[in-house]
Amino acid sequence: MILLKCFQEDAHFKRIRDPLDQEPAKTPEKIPAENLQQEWFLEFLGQGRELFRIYLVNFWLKLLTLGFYHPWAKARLFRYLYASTRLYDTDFQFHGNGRELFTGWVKALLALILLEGFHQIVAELIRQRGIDSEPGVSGGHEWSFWLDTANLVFYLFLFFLFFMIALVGVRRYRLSRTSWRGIRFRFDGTLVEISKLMIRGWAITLISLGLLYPLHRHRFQEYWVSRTRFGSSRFYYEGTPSELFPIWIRGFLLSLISVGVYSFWLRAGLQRYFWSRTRLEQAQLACNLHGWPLFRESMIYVFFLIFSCGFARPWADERYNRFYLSQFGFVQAPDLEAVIQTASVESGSTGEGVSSLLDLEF
Amino acid sequence: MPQSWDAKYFDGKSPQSMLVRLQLLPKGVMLHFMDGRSQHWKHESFSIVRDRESGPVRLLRGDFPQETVEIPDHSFAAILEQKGWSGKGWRTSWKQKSISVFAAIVLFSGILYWILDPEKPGITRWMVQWIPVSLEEQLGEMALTQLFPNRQTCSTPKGDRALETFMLSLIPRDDPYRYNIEIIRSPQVNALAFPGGKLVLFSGLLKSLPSPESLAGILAHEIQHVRLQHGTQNLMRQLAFSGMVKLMASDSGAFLEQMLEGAKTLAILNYSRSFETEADLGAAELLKQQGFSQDFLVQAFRAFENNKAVLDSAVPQYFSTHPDLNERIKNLENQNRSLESSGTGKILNPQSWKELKNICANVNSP
Repeated sequence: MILLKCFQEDAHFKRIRDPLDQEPAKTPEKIPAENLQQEWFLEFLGQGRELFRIYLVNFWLKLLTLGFYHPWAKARLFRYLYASTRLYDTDFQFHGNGRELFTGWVKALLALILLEGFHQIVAELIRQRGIDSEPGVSGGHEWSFWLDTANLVFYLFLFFLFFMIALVGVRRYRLSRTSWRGIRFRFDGTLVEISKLMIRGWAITLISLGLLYPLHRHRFQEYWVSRTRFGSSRFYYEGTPSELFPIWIRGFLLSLISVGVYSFWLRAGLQRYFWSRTRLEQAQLACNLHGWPLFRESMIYVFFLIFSCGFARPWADERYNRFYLSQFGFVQAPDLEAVIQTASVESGSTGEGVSSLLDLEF
Repeated sequence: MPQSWDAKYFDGKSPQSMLVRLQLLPKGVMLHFMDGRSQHWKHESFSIVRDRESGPVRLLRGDFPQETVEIPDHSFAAILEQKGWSGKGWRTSWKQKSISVFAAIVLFSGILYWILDPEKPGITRWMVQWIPVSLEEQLGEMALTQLFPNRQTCSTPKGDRALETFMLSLIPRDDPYRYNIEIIRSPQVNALAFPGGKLVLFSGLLKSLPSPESLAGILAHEIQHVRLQHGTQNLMRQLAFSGMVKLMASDSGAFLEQMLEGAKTLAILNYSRSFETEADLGAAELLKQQGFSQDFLVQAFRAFENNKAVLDSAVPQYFSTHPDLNERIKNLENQNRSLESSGTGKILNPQSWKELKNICANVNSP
């Protein structure tokens, strides 16, 4: 209770020393409390006991159906979580359903089985011809080593492809099924564009041994945000790599020195930066997330899980979501009169299926 | 009870809301707008959604753009339930819940029984036959590396030749597996079989065996574990078990995943009593098929039975996880009596046996 009281007071945050607060004040990252319109910040209204009921029913039905109920369980949970998230005076709504998620899951499973089967057949053919993959061993052939290598590279390429499908697919599906005040969100990014961006970004990061990662991160954020729509309104990202670089470098080095503990401050700093450089048309977004509360709440969440062997997860989720979502919102109210519904972008759920199968959480 | 409620109406074309007065009719609802307009929604034209127990009830009409009416008053939900109108997110009845819980308990018990009772491997045996040999080889290699990452493998040119001769005479030509035997320098009196054909023999066991025939018996037994896919069946069981635990922990089990990873590897080698008996009897048939005496394994068992030094040693692992020795000897002798006379072939000449026994001579003690 004392902890809960503490983080409700903005004054408490100001007393905590955070090196990222010493950034040049060109565009302030830390918004004074009196300028925030609290009603335009997200609010989580979910309750632990309601979440517990959902988790329990989902668990038993998944067991009863040997896991086939998973897509419906996911849809049910999403519907609840979205409906428990309020902005201003209206809750969000999730329009997806279990049938769509199941279809996507089946498509993803078929694709994975086909590709894994192909990979295994190739490996089996190589083996059955009696080719030893280790060069130099008596009876072996060196070219089989290259065959095995080509097979491995193909396998890795497929995994990369699936990862990209999941990354884009999840965002496109979830945004297309999300509405606020009846208006749907949308993501216009494409698989090809994202793949090119990621390959370039990973290459730059690898070559520079991580030093140029902020450049990749900036490009990714710019693409990710600028392709997101709320009805006819667009999101804009106005950050620059030069502003991001010192935040990243300082956070990264301190995280290394602190064996990862400072990563919470880095994450909070990045979120504050990204949100402060994002707007929905003319409405500036805001984030008041700081390192220490994030660290504290994350540790409390983990302790909840460990000491209850996972059974207290609903209450841990309630607490954490209530804290986390309340840090994000708008500096000023967006102009709702200018927003209109636009034509829906049909989005399949194969990306969701892939992310479920590969256990990727975005 | 009031029959009209304040509600918010969204036309689905803009985010602007309109305040309406919602009136409940016998077969639908009537919306009264502030500007005097009214809209009648028939019951079959809209769906009712309540995604959160303490949240508003939503009436949704149309597909895209979708009209929405939000009624925050909880008494509206109570009235709908009285009328028997339900929708997504409505609570299931106690009867439905009881049936599903009961069915889940029955199914859960059945699955647990299948998983935990290794004496009934019927389902897993059927399933593992579809697993390709190459995948089993990969599994075996991974398990071996995980269990013995820093192993010291014994090898001398003469010892390797003797071992190759030994294995060639023991393994049938049409065997689908490519067997690869490693002798690891260790005082353990043990031999292990991994999926895919990887066999491990510890130098402690090799030293304690009195004859090549007894080694043939032991290896024939391990080969049967491979051919009958016992390790793969164990892994499948373990995967099913860990999958269930993951379900119960609601996918929050990163910690559990770590624990289960180690358990999975060891579980591959934890053969049940029925698997051991199967391997024993299969070994006798394999030896006969290759022209050797079915009694080789019995010879090995008798050698250990009489060798108190081995049995009393600190590491009699080979036998500590296996069924009772006397029972195994009895089972084998019963089977051997029912089979035709066995062959009398010699598996290895004395010189080769000596070279094989000295295979670890060049490797320093761990």
